[in-house]
Amino acid sequence: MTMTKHYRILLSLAWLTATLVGCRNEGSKSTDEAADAGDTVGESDDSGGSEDSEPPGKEGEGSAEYPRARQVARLSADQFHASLIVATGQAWVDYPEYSAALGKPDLAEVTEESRSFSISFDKFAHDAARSTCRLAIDAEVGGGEPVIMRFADPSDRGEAEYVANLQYLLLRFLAIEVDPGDSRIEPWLTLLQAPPPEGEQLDDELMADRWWAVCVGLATHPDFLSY
Amino acid sequence: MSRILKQSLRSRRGFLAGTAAATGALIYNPFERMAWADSPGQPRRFLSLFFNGGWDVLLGPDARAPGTYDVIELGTDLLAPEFQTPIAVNVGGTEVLWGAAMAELERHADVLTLFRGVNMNTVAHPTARAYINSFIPPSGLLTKGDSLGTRFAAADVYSDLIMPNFVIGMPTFNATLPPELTGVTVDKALEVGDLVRQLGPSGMSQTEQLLRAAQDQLEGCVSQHYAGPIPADLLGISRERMRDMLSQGLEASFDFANDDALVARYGIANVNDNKDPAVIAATIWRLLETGLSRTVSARLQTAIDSHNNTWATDHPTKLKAGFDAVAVLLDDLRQTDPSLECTTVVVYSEFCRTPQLNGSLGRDHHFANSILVFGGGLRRGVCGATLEQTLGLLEIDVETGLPNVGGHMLFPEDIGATLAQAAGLDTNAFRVDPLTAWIA
Repeated sequence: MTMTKHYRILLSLAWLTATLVGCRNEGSKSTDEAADAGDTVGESDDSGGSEDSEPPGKEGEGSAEYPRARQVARLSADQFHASLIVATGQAWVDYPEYSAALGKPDLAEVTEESRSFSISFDKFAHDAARSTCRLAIDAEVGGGEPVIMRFADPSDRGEAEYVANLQYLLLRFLAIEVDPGDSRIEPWLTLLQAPPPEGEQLDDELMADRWWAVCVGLATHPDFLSY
Repeated sequence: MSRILKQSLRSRRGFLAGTAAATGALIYNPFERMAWADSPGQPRRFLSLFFNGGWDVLLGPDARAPGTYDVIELGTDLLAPEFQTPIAVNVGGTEVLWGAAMAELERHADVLTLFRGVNMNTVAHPTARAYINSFIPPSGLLTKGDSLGTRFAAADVYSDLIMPNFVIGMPTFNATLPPELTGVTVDKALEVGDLVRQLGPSGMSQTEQLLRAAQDQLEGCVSQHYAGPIPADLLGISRERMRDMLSQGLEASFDFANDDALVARYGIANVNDNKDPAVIAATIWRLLETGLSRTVSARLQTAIDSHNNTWATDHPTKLKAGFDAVAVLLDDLRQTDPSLECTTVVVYSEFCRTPQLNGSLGRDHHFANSILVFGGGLRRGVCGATLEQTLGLLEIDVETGLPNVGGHMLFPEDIGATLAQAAGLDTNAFRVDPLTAWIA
């Protein structure tokens, strides 16, 4: 332990000395790097210092933390609502009332936008998804332009139609292209293909309800809510 | 073990956090926990109550007797008669003057530690709010470290709580603690009622079950090798808690319109007034009473940044409304914890107001703040002081809390570190020594 400590102190002093006399050149390679690159080991750099005095491995080490701009982030409240409008074709009528609960600052008394995946965000995001998806499904069932059920409608019962529409929805909501056998389709296919409740028929109303659930599930998917 | 805890421990981060916590517990110096070690076995509660805008301590916790001062202009004749005469209050054996707006708090002076002359080091709202959010000097306008509520949510077990750290109308930060402790935020108190019930439409019963099952199988695209928090893990924790909360049928607890007893006790004039401190305090009480949380931070009062002549009319009224609400909340808290041995209530503003009236007969921003701590395992009394004639800052003897030239200047981090030490929490983040003489 003591030897290691002394060794570290000596190395630090050597490095400090080398830096102070100007022999440390940012562009120069360490001894090992120079050797790996086929350079002549021990050849002096422009400043005239000896490379042997520089401890190896100083460059390229450090924290593995990502820069803030590269970190995975939760959508802001406005981003979430705008994404919901694009994905479902419907706006959440209660958004102005609950945007602050989704984290949007009023910029008067609260200036920081909350970006945590908190229970309040998830709860109100679910409320928004439930409402907009219901509006979208109702509009389609009423004869509107298909947005959620573009490649399968409530009267379809075939797996091929389910899969085709799920492929489309995963692309629409999550921007991912999946093959028919992709495991990411499975949870939704299971939902759609579940037997009806005991004593009930798998009618069009129930299927529309299930497509609504798929829409809600995708609009509250972690990949939809983050970037 | 709760489902939340199990889920948390299943993830890599949850496991690491759990291991770290267990290791910390093993190596922890048990003597550091002595302050609250003697308390009965009740879970700890922590409330952080914020008066947003900068309060006038001369109308509140640092009042002056009527008279003439070198610098201080009391403006007594501008005030309504009920706010003109300060009251004498005994705080831990020390008689002090409080503004009449604080009269309702007098019955809780026996559990109060009053910090006066706290140097806020800034008179800019955003900087001071960032400072007082964590009680740690900020980085510019940015809060540094964890919010005080977040830190104290970790002071006791929280695995049984749906929302271990609840926040109303304030930003909250979690820089170092497990994600379960990140504050659950609503902007307005009445949104809690909307939080505990589903607003959007439901599907058919079976569809809801199928949706839940599908959501439980989802995996996000962020790899487990990613160094930062993984959205799917964080959402998993929140989603489990959301389901628990929605299944409890708590709507009635936050429907004050049908709760005459609560409305009368808190003096609520309008149950739909989100800015009424009485509504906010009643909401806080219900969050505690229902067991949803034991740590709540709230912006209790707003619009007290009185730079113009509304200072004389609005400011004392708003202070009184805020302090009255705190007093009733303390009544409720003391029902089960009479001496607040397991409860901490911190009441503060981002700074105070100038001793002199400005040209508009209002007051501007001033450094020498006061902070009230009820309970918290602290010694009762008055710690710190301001210059009698000028409301200027004074150095103090940290043992006695009395003025002492060349002594210690009191800063928010001193109080944060002291509260943390009393709660058995790590104080390193505050980078100052706790005022150990003020820990009971």
